[in-house]
Amino acid sequence: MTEINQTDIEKMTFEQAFSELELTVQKLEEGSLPLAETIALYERGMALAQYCNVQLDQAELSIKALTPSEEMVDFDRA
Amino acid sequence: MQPSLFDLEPQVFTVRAITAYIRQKFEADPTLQDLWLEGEISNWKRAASGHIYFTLKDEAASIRCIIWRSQANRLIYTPQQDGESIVAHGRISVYEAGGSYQFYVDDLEPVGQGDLYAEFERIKARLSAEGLFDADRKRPLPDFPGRIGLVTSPDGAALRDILNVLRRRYPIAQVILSPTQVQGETAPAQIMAALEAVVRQAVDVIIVARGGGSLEDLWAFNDENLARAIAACNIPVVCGVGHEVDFTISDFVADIRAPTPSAAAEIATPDRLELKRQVRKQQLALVTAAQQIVTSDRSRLQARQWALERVSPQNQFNNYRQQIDTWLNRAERSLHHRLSLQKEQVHNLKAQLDTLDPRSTLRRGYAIVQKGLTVVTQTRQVEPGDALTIQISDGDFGATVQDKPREIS
Repeated sequence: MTEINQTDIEKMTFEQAFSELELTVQKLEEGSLPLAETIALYERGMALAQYCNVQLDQAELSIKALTPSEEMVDFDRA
Repeated sequence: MQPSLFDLEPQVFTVRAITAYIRQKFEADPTLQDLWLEGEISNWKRAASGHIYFTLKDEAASIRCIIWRSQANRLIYTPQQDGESIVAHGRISVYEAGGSYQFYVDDLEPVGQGDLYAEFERIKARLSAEGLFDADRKRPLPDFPGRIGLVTSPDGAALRDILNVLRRRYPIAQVILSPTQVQGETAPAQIMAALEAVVRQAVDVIIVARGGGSLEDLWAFNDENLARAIAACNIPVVCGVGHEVDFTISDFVADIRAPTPSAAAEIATPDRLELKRQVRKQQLALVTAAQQIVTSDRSRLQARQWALERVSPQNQFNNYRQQIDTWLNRAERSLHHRLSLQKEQVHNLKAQLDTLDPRSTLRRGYAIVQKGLTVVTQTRQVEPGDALTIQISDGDFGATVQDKPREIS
C-alpha cells in the first residue's frame, strides 16, 4: 500500500475511508518503518482524512420513497 | 316547577321545558354519565358527516347510539356486522329535538376480549415467555449506517422530525422511506408489508416510527404479528413510537427502543460534528506519529554517523597523527633533557679539565722546570751551572742554576 491512489479513495464510502484512516494511524504509531513508507502512509492518511472531511461538510441527505411496486422515487415532501 | 297538591290548576309545561327537565335528570345521574353497555349491534351506519349511528340491543330493549366523527376515527375496533356483541363505553343523554334518549359512545370493544390494556398485557406476557424480548436477541446497530430505512407515515410529524435530525447529524446517509398507515385496523398489516419492503432494499438500519397518541392511537404497534415480524427482522430495528411514556409491544421486541421518533434518528446515527472531531484527532495523530518516526530516524542516523566517524579512516589517521605528535613532543622533551644533562656534564668535565689543565696551574704562578727534556721535580736532579728551561704560563726562557739546591722536606 505504498502508492497514494486518489481515485480509489474517491470511490470509498465514508465508513471505509474512516476505517482505513484509523488503520493508517495505527501503522504509523507502531513505528519502525522505513522512511519512504512512512512518508507514503502519512500522505495517504492525510488524503483519507481530507476525503472524510469533505464528505462530512458537503453531503446532503438523500431521501427516496418506495412506491407500492417497490420502486424508488425521489421524495420531496417534509 | 313542581306540581303542588294545593294547586287548583294542573301545571302546564312546554315541551321544551319538560324535555330540558328530563335531560337534566339524565345528566345529574352519575350512573348514566359514565357506563359500559353490552349488547348486540344493529343498523350500523356511517353517515356522510362522519358520525356513526347504530342500535345496541338485547332481547328486551334497545338503545340508540351515536359515535361522533372525532371518536369514530380513533376507534381501534370496528364491528364487522350486525348481530355482533360489543361492550361500549359512553354516557346517556337526551336528544331534545328528537325526543329520544341516546347513548353517546366514545369507546367500544368486541365482547370477550377484555379491555385494551389487559389485551396489551396478555400479548406482552405471551411474547416475553417466548423469549422475544430477550437482551441477547438484540442486534447491535451499525456504526455508520449508509442506508437508513424508515417505516412511518409519509404525512406525519414523525417523518419530519426524523428527517430534520438526520439532516443535522448524518447527511451522508441515504434515507429510504417505506410509507404506511400507522393507525387503524389495517395498519398492522401495512406496517408489516412496509417493513418487508424496506428489508428487501438491504438497508443498514430500520427506524419504525409514529408520533404521540393514546393507547388506541398506538394500538397498531401492539399487534402480535407485527411484533413477531420485527423480532424476526434480520436488520437492526429502532422503534420510536409515541412519547417518552408510551410503550408498545413493538418497543419491547425491537433491537432498541427510542422514546420519540427524533430520538430514534439520533440513536441510529453518529453525529457529524463528533465525527469531524475524530477525523481531526486522527490527522493530529498522523502528524505526531510521522514526526516521531522521522525524529527517531534522525537520531538513529546521527548515532550511526557518530559511530562511523569514530572508526572512519580519517579518524584513524587523525588518531595516528595525534599520537605521533605526542611522541614527538615527548621525544623532543626527553632529548632536551638529555642534552641539557649532557651539557651540564660537559660543563663539569670541562671545569674538571680546566683544573687539571697544567696551564691553569701555570697561570697560578707555577712553572715547569726542564733540564733538557727531563722535567725537574727533585733538587738532586740539578747542580749549579746546569742549563734549565723554565716554562711559565705564557712562554719559556733559559736559566742557569746558581746555587746548590736546598732540599725542603
